[in-house]
Amino acid sequence: MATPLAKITEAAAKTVTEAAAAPLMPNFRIGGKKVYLPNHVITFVRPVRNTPPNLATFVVPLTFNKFDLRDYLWNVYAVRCSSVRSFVNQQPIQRKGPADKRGSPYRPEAQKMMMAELEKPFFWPERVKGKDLPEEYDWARWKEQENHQEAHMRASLVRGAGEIEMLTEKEKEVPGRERLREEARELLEGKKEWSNEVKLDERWSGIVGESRRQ
Amino acid sequence: MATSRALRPSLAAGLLQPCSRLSLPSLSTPLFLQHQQPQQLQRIPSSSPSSSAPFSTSSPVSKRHVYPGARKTRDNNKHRGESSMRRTGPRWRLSVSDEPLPIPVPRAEVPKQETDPDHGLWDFFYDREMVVRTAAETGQHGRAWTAEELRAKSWDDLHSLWWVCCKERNRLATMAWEREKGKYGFGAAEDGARDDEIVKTMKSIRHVLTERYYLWEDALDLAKEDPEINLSGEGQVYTPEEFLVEEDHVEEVSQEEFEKLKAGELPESLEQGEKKTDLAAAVDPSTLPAETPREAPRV
Repeated sequence: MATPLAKITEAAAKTVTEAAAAPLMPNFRIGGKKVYLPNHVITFVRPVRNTPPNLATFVVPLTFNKFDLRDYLWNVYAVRCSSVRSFVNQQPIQRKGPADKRGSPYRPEAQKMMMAELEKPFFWPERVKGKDLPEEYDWARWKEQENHQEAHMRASLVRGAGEIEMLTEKEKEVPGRERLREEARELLEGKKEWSNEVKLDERWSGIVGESRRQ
Repeated sequence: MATSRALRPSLAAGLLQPCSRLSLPSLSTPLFLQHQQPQQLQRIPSSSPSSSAPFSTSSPVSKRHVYPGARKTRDNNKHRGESSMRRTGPRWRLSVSDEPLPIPVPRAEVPKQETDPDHGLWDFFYDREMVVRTAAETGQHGRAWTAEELRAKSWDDLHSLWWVCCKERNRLATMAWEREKGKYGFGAAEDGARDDEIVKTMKSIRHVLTERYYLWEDALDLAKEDPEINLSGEGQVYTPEEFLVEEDHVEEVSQEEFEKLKAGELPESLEQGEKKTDLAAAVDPSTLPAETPREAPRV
């Protein structure tokens, strides 16, 4: 004889199996307009910190609306979402051409983002830090190049603005810089004799002696 | 209004009435009820006890009487007198349970959850472990489909290829975004090159479909002039005036021949054919004249 608990579990198991067996149906009314060859690029974006896992963020074309994304996700990826939130990110003003040329300013095209409230949560894979990346990614070399490019760009920006490049704190700490300065001062004050340790020809002695006297 | 106190005599005569007990018919009934049902209410004796009413020095009539434009004296502010500065607290006791509140678990201690392996959004990734591929992996790809190759394909094939391209572009865009934001290093150029090939394929698909559309348009123009084609929408579309139908040549087999066949003997006609094939094998095929190509029967 089946106990009440056993009956309940049996019924629950039955409903679960039935739900699993049933084909996934859309949770909205499918429209009549058929789009055969859409040419959009949808970027699935890692959510910002502390975003709940049932929210999936996408970068969509500016022409997209919430219904478009809902339909797209259902028809292409079989993902059901309960609602969609949308916002447009205005881009900062940039200058045309290279940084030091200071071309005319313009505003790049805005970027539209949408957040779909998913029925099934989605957890993004962990982001691997650059240092922990495998050897094939060649991250160290890329980082070196990136640093170099960034320094170059910053310097060109300063030059473009008509200013003089200042030594950064890092450059001030070049080893030997202080010693060089000391030596230069000693030379100027005449405390130290300068020589490059090169034996000159006899014929030079007259000219050198004359310049020293001066 | 400046003249609110100094009422004009004409108005004052009508509005300001003396509130003496003698001038009113009944004190226990409100004025508006008196106006509605004067005869029924007047039967109640004027000396009826009103002990339940709260003590007030002002006459009830003047309280009740609301003339148009009168000031509203009731206080609607539920929180009057409450002050956080004076620590008065709320005026009413709030319904708060005594049960201890649950303490939130720190984010680091929350058990790791797994995504459903059949989740549709996995299609946005090449790899579920590492979202971003190496530059070498991304660079390994073939060329785009050319229009010549796609011309032989059906609409269903082209349509599915289009959607394959769409999903591939989404996957690439997702990877490129993550590569840039996560600073994964090299590979942006390879992403671009791969994307270019996909775009080329998509352009070829559109090109082929456009070609087909133009062909269909031309065919329609020809069909309109062709008397053998019926474009009215009723009956058969292709109505040829004269055409050839090959009749099925059925050889009649007599009873004797049938019995012979049953017994396993070959009939005369077949035996002759076998002999003919033997003869044909004996003739050098290079000496035979070339066959003229026959025209396919129009059906």
